[in-house]
Amino acid sequence: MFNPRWWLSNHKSAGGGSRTSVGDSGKSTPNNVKASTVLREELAKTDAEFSAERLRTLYGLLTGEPVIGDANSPEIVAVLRIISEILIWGDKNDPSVFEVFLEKHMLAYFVSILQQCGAVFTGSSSPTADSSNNETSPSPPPTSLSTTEKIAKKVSPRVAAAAEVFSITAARHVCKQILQLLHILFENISQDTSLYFLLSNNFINQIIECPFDFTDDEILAHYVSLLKILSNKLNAHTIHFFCQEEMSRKNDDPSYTVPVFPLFFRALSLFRFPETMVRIAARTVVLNCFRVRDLTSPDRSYIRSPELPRQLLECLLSILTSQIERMKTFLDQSNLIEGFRDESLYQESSSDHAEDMIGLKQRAVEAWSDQQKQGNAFQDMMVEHMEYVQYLNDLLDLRVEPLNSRVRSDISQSYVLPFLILPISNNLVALRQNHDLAVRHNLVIEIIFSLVLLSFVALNLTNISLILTDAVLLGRGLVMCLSLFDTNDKMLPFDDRLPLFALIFLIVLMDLCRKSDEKVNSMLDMPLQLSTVVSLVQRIAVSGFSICRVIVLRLACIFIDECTTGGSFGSLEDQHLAVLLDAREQSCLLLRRFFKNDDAFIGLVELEVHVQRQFAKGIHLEKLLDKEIAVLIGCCPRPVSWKITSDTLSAAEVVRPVSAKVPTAAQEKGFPDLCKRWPLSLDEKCRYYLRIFFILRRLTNKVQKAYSSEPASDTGKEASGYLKGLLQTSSTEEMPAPFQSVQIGDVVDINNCDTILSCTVVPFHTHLATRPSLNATARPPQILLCPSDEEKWVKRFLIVHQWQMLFVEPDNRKLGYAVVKETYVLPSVQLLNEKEQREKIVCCCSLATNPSNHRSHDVNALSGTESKTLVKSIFFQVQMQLPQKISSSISDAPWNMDNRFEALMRVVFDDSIRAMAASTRVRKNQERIRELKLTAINTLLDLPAGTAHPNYANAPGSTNDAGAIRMSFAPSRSTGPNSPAIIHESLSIPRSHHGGETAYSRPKSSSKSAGREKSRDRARSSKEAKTTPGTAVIPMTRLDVSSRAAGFVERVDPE
Amino acid sequence: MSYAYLFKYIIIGDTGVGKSCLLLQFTDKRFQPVHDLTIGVEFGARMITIAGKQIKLQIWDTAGQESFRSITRSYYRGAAGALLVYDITRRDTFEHLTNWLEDARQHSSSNMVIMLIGNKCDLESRREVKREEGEAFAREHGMIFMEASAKTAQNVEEAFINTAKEIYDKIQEGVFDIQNEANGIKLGPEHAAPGVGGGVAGARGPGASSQAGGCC
Repeated sequence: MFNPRWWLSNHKSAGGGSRTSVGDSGKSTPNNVKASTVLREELAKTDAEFSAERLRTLYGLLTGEPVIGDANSPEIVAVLRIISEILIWGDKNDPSVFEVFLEKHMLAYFVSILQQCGAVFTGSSSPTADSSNNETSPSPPPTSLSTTEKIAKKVSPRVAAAAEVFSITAARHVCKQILQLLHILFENISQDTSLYFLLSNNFINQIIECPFDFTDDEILAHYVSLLKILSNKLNAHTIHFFCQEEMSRKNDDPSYTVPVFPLFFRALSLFRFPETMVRIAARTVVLNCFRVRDLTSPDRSYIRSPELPRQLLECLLSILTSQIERMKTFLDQSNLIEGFRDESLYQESSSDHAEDMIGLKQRAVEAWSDQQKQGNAFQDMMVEHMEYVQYLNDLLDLRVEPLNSRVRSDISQSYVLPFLILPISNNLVALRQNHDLAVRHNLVIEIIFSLVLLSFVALNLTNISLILTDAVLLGRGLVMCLSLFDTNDKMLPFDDRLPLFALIFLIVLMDLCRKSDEKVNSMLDMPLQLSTVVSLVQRIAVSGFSICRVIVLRLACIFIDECTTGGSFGSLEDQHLAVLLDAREQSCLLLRRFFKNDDAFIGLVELEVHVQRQFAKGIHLEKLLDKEIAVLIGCCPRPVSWKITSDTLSAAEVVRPVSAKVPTAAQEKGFPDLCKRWPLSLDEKCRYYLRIFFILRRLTNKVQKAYSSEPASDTGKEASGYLKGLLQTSSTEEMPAPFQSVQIGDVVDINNCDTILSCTVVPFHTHLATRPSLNATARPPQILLCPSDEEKWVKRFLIVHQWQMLFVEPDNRKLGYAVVKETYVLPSVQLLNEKEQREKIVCCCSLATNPSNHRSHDVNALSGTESKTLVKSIFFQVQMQLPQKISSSISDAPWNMDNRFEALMRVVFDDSIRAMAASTRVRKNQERIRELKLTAINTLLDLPAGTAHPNYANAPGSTNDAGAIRMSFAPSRSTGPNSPAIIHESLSIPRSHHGGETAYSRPKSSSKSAGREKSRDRARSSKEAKTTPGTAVIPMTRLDVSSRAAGFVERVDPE
Repeated sequence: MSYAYLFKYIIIGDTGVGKSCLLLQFTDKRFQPVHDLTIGVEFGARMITIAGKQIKLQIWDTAGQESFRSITRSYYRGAAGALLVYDITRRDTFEHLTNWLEDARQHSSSNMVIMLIGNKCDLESRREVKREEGEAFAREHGMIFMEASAKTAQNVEEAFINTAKEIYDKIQEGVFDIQNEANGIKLGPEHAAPGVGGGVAGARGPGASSQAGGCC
């Protein structure tokens, strides 16, 4: 059915134009007006059914039009539209429709319309053309020239008549509609026989060869879509319609024949078209053409002529070459390859006065952004280049001759050898012989570029044998890149990009070999490479880890690991192992200098443990290259100037800014992570060495295990569960789950619990506001705190239990039991002292413009009633990492480790003694936890006992009794803090990470517990209250088994 | 004909979720889905108006090229927006979303705007995927979400236009590098001389795209 609404809008928009042209030409062709009126009347029959008869009528009207011109083009477009609908309808419902279509030779008619339009397009560029048409259509490609002449002869009277009244805009419109009709027809026709009829009589090739106006992007897009659809219809039965058997002879050489294959040639001519989507479609068409296999032999393409692959490869290689040239020029002109070396920035950041971390950070991000822009531009070029390399790969994957052999030989001879392999080996040789600094610098750049390209190609050209055969030539060259010339060579600074990309290439190669069972061993001399890599590690270690970025070391470790596991590529010798152990020892020594007996250090260790967990998942090289090539190239190493000096060491001991606040995520976006650049702040340096240490530690542990075939017990018999946690994270295993032994909704036995403090919990919410001041000059907005409304206050009982702070409510079903309403892990709780409290609350009071907000809360700093409350309350802040942020990325841009989620609350007790008891208990337990952690870290770093804390002698086991916790759960107590289950709680970061994971997996689990419901409700309500109490997401499935078994914890049954 | 920007979209999702029907419904509403006629197309274009600017949307259906890795990858890279479509009456199409998204994120520029569409929402009785699930998935992955029906045209306009709005906003923020054509955004001829844009459009002859009339 035809919808009149659309007809109207169509008519309206097109009508304006139509009228003007009628004005121009109406007098000369009065018939047109009459005829289109008939058409219009027919079109207005909105109730008309689809049928063969209607098709016949419409077609009759269409052909009844004397000429196609501006006057009737809107109607013609509308008729064509209905015809296509009827045809599709007929294909599914009524075969007679298609019979009418054939009987009337409609396709021939459509072709003639297209040719008329084509004549308008080509004619418009001639001087006699309508001067109002500024657009010039491109000269038709050479392949279609002859056809155009043919058409011109055939339809010349018509064309001559049409040229007068057929403007280019109208022609475009009609042309577009015909193309869409054909597009729809070929895309939707389901009957094979109908398809064959459509393709027969060479109409299809006439359509393909019609001249089109490619300046109109819609015509262009419809045209290439049509080509694509047609190419999808290619198979052994239909290809005859497209590719003529007759061979045209060229150069009078009978053996040199080219089939007539317009689809292929038109597509090929579009390979360099400026529109990306058009190029992609053209490439698809060519792939589809070659995909058709010869029926007689399955590994041959239907396209037997070697000429077609030759032309294709010629085109592709010229594209590849020009892309490479473009990239090289870009590198020459940009300072990307010079690297990000803002010396002053590094100098300043490592000086003692690095207090202005915010300013420093801002400058770092700003300085990087320019570099990043260039890097992105380069990355875009490289990725585009890779599209073509992958295209070659897709061509190979078709596995058809003669295409296959052609692609193989051409890739090898004209691409891999001249652009990838030879430059590396030649330039390396030149580098040895040449002593001019500038020349050598350029040579290094050339080598880096070739290595980058090689890594990319190895990743994208999955057909390994292609690269391998040529890469043999490279064996020694790679060794040279890895060994990076002699250390004695002072002429050239050590450039870590050479080993970086050489390692990437080797790892990719190994992966590929593993997949395809190729023997890479003999070709690249893997044992030699392995020992080179080991000595690279040695050299990095000897230099104090200051000549390479972490990523190089990490890749080296991955390489050694992959090489030795399974032993297929080589095995580690004794001396290699010794080197690795030495390197680890070295990193440990360096790390010890950063050791500090404080929470900040613990925080850094925990953060790095988390990062290691991410590392354990393996490296995604493809992603690394695709997305971060800019960083790998641009954030290049600097000369050894940042090596730890005694200055920085002392600074490390004096000031380590614990939390430099600020930076927004958007600013930091794109700033490289610590693996790929140099550390800026002292915190980062500490993390840098931690990271190196963990990487080496994991490798050596693994290698030793494999080596001695028994677990390496290098950690001795320190039985700290915390350390166990660290150990497990540094192996490939996942960390065991339970982080919180008691969770929201659990029921706890409080019969024997000696300290239960009744209290009122007042959550605070934050306001971003400008703090008013007397000299009201611009003050930056601050985060201020406000107590929430009274209805949000809750009566609770506080229990400080081991590692947790529990807020419970008596269980009304069971005497002596209580339901846990809120829990906080102690290490993330920070008690605020009186001064801090006062500061924050003063803020809040002076902010309180609306007195009703604070009416009921007796905070008034000026009147002194506040101090009473202060005395009998504790005020604390809970910090935790946002779970989703941490789990989604390991991005560790310089300052984002402070990106924490905070909850603040005040707990008001009945009197000051209870308040004091509570705060003492919290502090005591926190101290104990801290000691335990420090002990674990001490053991990790092999520090002598006692360094951690004066009370180090207080062994973890024995502190248990000293703790103030006396609840009745003997089994749990006996395991004490030694049990990993409990000790993991202290790892606040991994915990949140897990929180994120569970939050995600939760909807899948079918069992629903009341506790979970509660925690959900809580999350919801807390959102409404705009407070942010910490543990909204608690993994209920991760219940501590031991405490549960002890009867301390009981799950609430769902009601 | 004349436009300020041209945005290229791709439509991705399992086969049979109604991608090309969505496309046709948006670009060419004159093809009404009567007689239970489902017409598929691979390409469509339409003009819309955002913030007073004419914006041309070019939508490419990528179906049928999955076997060629280089082609799919190129498509992702060449698009400024993607509609990720699943069928609310087929659970498996929803479950494959993660794969599609992973592919899209890996191969596209990081700025590509992805919109999640639960198609065939007219078939409420056969629904297998809850609306909330779609919402949750979209939220989790930072996408806009909408349930639409190519058959009744419900939300089809909105889906394409909201995506365009987001792209437009990103351009205004300067996130997109509009000079780089690889992003799937092209500056229109109008952009060079914004003053004459309207005049040029009006002066066009009868061929002035009738589709321009169909803006929101």
